[in-house]
Amino acid sequence: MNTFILQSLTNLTQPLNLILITLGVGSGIIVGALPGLTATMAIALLVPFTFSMNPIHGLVLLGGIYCGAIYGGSFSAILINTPGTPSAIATTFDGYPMAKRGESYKAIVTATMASVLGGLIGVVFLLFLTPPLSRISLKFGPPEFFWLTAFGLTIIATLASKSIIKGLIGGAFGLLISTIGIAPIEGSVRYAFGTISLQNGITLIPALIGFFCLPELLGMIEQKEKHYAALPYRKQKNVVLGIFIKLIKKPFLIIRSAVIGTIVGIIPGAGGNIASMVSYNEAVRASKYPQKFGKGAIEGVAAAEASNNAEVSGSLIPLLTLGIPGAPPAAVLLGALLLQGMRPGMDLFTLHGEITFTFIFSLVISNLLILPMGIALGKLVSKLITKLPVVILVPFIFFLTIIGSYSINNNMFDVYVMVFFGVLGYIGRKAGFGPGPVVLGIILGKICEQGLVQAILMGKAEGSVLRMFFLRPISAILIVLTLFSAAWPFLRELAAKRKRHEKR
Amino acid sequence: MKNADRISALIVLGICVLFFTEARDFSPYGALFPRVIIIILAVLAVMLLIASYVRPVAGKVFDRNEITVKYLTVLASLFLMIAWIAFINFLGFLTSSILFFSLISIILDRKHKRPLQILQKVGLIAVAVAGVFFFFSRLLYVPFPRGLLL
Repeated sequence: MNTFILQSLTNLTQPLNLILITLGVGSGIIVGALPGLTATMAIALLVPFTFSMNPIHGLVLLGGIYCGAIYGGSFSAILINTPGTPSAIATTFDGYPMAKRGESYKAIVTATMASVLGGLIGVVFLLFLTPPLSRISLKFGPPEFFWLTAFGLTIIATLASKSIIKGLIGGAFGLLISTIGIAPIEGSVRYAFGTISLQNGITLIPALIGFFCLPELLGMIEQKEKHYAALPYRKQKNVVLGIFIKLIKKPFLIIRSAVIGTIVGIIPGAGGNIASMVSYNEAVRASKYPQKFGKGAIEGVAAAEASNNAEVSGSLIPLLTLGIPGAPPAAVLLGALLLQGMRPGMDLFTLHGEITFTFIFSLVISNLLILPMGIALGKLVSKLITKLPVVILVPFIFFLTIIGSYSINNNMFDVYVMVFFGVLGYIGRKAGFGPGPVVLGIILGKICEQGLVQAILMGKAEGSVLRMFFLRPISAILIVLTLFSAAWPFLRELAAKRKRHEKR
Repeated sequence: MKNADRISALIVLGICVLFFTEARDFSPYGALFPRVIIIILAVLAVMLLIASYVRPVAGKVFDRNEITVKYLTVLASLFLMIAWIAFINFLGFLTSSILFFSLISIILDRKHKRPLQILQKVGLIAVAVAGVFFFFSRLLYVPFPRGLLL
């Protein structure tokens, strides 16, 4: 491992890697700051272009975009009260009131510092948790993978959607889509509907681009008449040092928020929006002056931003060790890893150790770069937010979606798949079905099916299918977690009802 | 029948029927997982259908009052996007992209309607699209769709 760490640190001193990280962070900040453009969309669009790149170059670029975009969302949250990415939702609570008081620069500096500190704490967790977890993953057999995907899907369905039933329908629909093509066991061709193109199944990246990009584009067209009135952004002297001292004096606020962000990130499907909300809530509960929150408290901005940037690394922990993405952007990164022929698990820390550790350490640089770049790009970003060039952006992004979908297999069918899922995603969103559960269903489907069928075959060979599924120690833990996560929304509702009843 | 949840549930049930019927000819283990998923999906769709009657919360997918210029622009843009892809095989990727990029940009832009402004815009788009095309295809070796023209 030490050799990999040394090699990766050497890799990061190469100018091209540093340029790519800087490009990634810069473009991520701009994309994240523009309402309607999300981190997931930016990564989904760029993944196909990294196919022809060296894996290290591709991954450090995508990592930079991920970190930059999650932070960039705070700009629009503070200046126009609209989160640029869903992760910045809790930043609006105190960031916008601060900006209204004429303290927009102070709010952005707070968001920047908290993002850097939270992001760095998250990377520490990523660095120390992934190698041991990847060793545990070696103990995972087909039944464990089956239960792990079941656990992931129940979490996704209950957290990623406003309605539990719709979330579950989305997840199950994604699983069904994943069955199109050749069956993993016995090799029969399924759901090709007489076409040759469907025999190979649905390619992941075009489906991801379709679900995450096209609905956003059509949404941008809907909102194109909307003009955002941004509050003024003016640099002030001594703010950076002042905020830094204030935040250093509140170490528990940052550490607690970053730990919450990392934990929420590890939970499959629970994205930065949940991380920032939970962390904001905890900051209010722990504060001696909870009444200050919501009126422009820097603690509120810091809690939300530290947690959503820590969530970036958290979401990569289950991805790199088990192949289960912790958040939608991580799901797209999984596509990037698979495109480069890298399978998550122990291999990433042995066979591809140099690439993996370079990627992890590049996140340290990405987070550190947020500080100078965030402050330097502030003026440009605040101008872009108010003058969002929809007229050019929409056709340009669509142009990229075509190239991105086509370049995976050099196949026009993938472009048709992208448009089909894009239109489906747009209509689904209108009817209240989010794209997250569907996409994660598509990703987890193959692992889930292989786990189910192989476990049945193993159980039959050993004399008991039930024992194979239910009596292995890791499976038992995962079953308990699955049942708990499936029952959680109902338990929560029951508890809320009881509370309301007691109040009366 | 204007409840979005009700329509969604019925569409999902229709998909279940289609996929279940298609799974008849699959090998036993090939059919196992899809059948389990279809049953779960159908149960969830029935639950959504019942909920849409018992607790109707959702409105219509597209409110009739909202079908104004906003949705017409969305529909027109979507139509042009599909046409863009359809024409790649005939016009080639570069030509098709310049044409439809310009058309989408023109219908989205209400401010610049004078012929000279439109011409200027199309010219700029052609240069930008060609630049991106050559950058990706010649420098990054990203493959592009081919048609009869470039």
